[in-house]
Amino acid sequence: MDINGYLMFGCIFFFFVILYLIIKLCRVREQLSLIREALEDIKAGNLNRRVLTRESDMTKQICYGINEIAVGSQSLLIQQRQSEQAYKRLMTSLSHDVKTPLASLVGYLEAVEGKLVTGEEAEEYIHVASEKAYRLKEFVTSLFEWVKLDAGEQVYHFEVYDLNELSRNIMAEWIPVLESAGLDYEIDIPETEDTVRVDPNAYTRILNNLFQNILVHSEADHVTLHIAGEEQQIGITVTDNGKGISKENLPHIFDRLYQCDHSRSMQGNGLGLSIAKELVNAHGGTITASSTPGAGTTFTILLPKVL
Amino acid sequence: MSDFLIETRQLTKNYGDQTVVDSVNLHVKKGRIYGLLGRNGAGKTTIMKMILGLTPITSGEVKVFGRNIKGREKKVYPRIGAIIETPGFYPNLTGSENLEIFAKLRGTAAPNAVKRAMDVVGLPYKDKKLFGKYSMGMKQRLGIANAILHDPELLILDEPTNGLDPIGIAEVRNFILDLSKQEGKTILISSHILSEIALLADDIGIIDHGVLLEESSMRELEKKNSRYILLQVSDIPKASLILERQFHTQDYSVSDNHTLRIYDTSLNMAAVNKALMMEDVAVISSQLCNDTLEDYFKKITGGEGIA
Amino acid sequence: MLRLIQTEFLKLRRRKLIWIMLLAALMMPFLALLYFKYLGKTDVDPMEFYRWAAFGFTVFIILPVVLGILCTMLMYEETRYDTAKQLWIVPVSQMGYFFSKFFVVLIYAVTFMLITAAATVLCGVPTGIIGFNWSSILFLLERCMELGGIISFAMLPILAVAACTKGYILPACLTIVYAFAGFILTPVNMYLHPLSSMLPILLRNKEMQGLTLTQDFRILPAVLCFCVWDLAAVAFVNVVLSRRK
Repeated sequence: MDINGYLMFGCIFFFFVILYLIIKLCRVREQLSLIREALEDIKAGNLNRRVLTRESDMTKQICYGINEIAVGSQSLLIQQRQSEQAYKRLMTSLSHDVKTPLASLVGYLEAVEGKLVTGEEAEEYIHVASEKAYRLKEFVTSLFEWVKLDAGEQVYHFEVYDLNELSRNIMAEWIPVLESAGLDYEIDIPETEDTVRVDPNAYTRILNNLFQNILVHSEADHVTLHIAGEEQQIGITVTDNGKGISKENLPHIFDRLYQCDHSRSMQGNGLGLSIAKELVNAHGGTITASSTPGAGTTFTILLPKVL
Repeated sequence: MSDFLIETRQLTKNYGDQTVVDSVNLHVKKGRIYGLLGRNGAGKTTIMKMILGLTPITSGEVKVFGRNIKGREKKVYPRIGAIIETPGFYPNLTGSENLEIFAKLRGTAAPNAVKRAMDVVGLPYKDKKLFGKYSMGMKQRLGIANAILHDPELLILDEPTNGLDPIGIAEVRNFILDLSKQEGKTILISSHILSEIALLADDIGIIDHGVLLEESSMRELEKKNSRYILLQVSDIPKASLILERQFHTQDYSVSDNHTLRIYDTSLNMAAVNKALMMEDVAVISSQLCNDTLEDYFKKITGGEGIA
Repeated sequence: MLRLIQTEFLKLRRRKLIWIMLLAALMMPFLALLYFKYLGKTDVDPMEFYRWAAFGFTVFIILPVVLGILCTMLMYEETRYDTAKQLWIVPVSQMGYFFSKFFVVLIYAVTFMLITAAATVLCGVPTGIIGFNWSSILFLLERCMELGGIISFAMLPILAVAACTKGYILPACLTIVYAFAGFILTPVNMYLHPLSSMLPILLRNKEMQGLTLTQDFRILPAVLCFCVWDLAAVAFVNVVLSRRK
């Protein structure tokens, strides 16, 4: 091959290199215009817009970055919107949850005041009315408690306690209540000491709410409290043998004002478990529920130990 | 841009002299789940195919993202994820290899998109199993994974729960709900099962023999679905007292100063009215709302019902 | 486009038939080996041996049929498993799709011819039928690659038909008719059919003796024949695919 041959070969080679570079340039330009378009869309508020890119693209990192920002802001926005909606729902159901018992309360009192009923019947009316008033009061109290928790205004007094001791004290108060409600109970608290940083009031409230929930909703005749310390954490399980919670309802039981039985009977207020969850969260723990419909429900609280 | 991500105007499709889709005006709102309900062969798939440009339109027009799709495929398709009929993949490749092909062709919005998509639908990543050996349910899952591979804004899902077992259906349903509620995606979904659509959709379009019979929001429809006695009375407290004392029910709620809903529909309405009159409570109106969605659909499809 | 071609090859993973069909490349060299051994000839003219082993039936019958099956398979699989629909909404352009398939056929044809070339050399040289000669081997390699390229263009109409029909029977039958038509038309007018038009291109420098043909070898009409058939095929695909979608 002479010089011309080499020259020819070189020219062809460079021609292909240039062609490759031009194609590459065009592709990058195309991708950049796609990115610009997507950015404009995102700026206009469409946070679902994504820029698609491929493993081999030069702009890969930029595109991934833009997408990540869009995903992040989108989920923030949705969270915000959801809590707004939840608040609105709360207000509607609140007005309903207060109005109904209040109306019937007024009805009873009017009947007594207007002398429509007399003697023993009147006394029974007053008894029913005061029961309703107490329930209403309870509801309003838990509601305020919940609002306080939700707004993060609850002040906790955390101190290091022996959780087993604390639990025994709480259960001592519950035993007569359980007995009078006709529930069998089994309490298994270890004799050893398991120290946890808790707010004793809050902890009492958590257990109270769980037992209250069982008492009101479960239709159980046997309940078990079991506490077992592990290396890092301490597990409190409360099990009943009641009617259980169906699969559809289970994920929602810790939502505020969620009630499984949709009848508007006035037992319970749909706040107990929600409050318990908030309180457990404040202790850096978790609360979960598992259930077999017809066979009972188990609530498990895990609290971190003080080491 | 208008609020409709998909809008069709007088969309019509003829096969020969048979009209499969007849002047359909569909409106899919941003961020919502639109359920297209109709029996098999009602024209759901054809509508979706026309929206995606997979089959020619006889007359009418389709707007996706506010504009005509024709000629802008390259810009519009990457923003849509779709399953049409049973999803087709290469039987000689594994699930991940199949998705890898589509990821390569389309580009992805985030690194490891294939793994993420497969995790979401519950298929093992890098499994050795070939697509040809997949069960119907797994195929459907892979189809969904492919539809969400590039994190699209708009999902068009044609009977996505076809061939899934009941647990799978519930999983897919929850996952679709999550996509809409947690990520703000817009979803057009078709089904021939009323209960399926009722659980998912925000808006609903009912199609029968190619004609869109009704398009309305689920909330509107739900109002027609519950069973209760609506009472308008002069004196709410007194009425609630009568309900509790004479009819022994607490299953009611007070919605405003004169309106009361009784959910216990076993009550005899005439007896309630009479008792209220006897106690000098004026009954302004009373009506039994007792319509189920099924009844409603039967009514609008001309008595044939759906599914 | 590069990406499309890349994915086309990914799709062929674990397809045994593709590999089995490559075995057909060994058939004619082996038969040629038997034939010349039977005649007891040694040191024949390499061109004579090549004509038997590489450029004869391999190019005009075996490879067209194999490529026809490949075309049918490539296209039929996409409609059979409904994957084409998924590709349209990616989106993949119809022509991009068609040409990426064509590229697979092209690569396959070139590979096939290279295997034939290698087999021809392996059957010829060690057995002493032909002498070892670099220039003749290079000629063989060059012509084989060239033919692989040209023949895939000749098969473009079959690929077009396969792309436009939903079944596999029509393109498969058409392949056989097409291949034999090329064979039969050669003595009549070789510029009518792409497969027979390969002949003048193959023999353009008259390296190969011993072929008695009545017609002159002219390159231009042969190339023209290719252009007409291929353009018609591409236009056909374009019209049919865009209408179907």
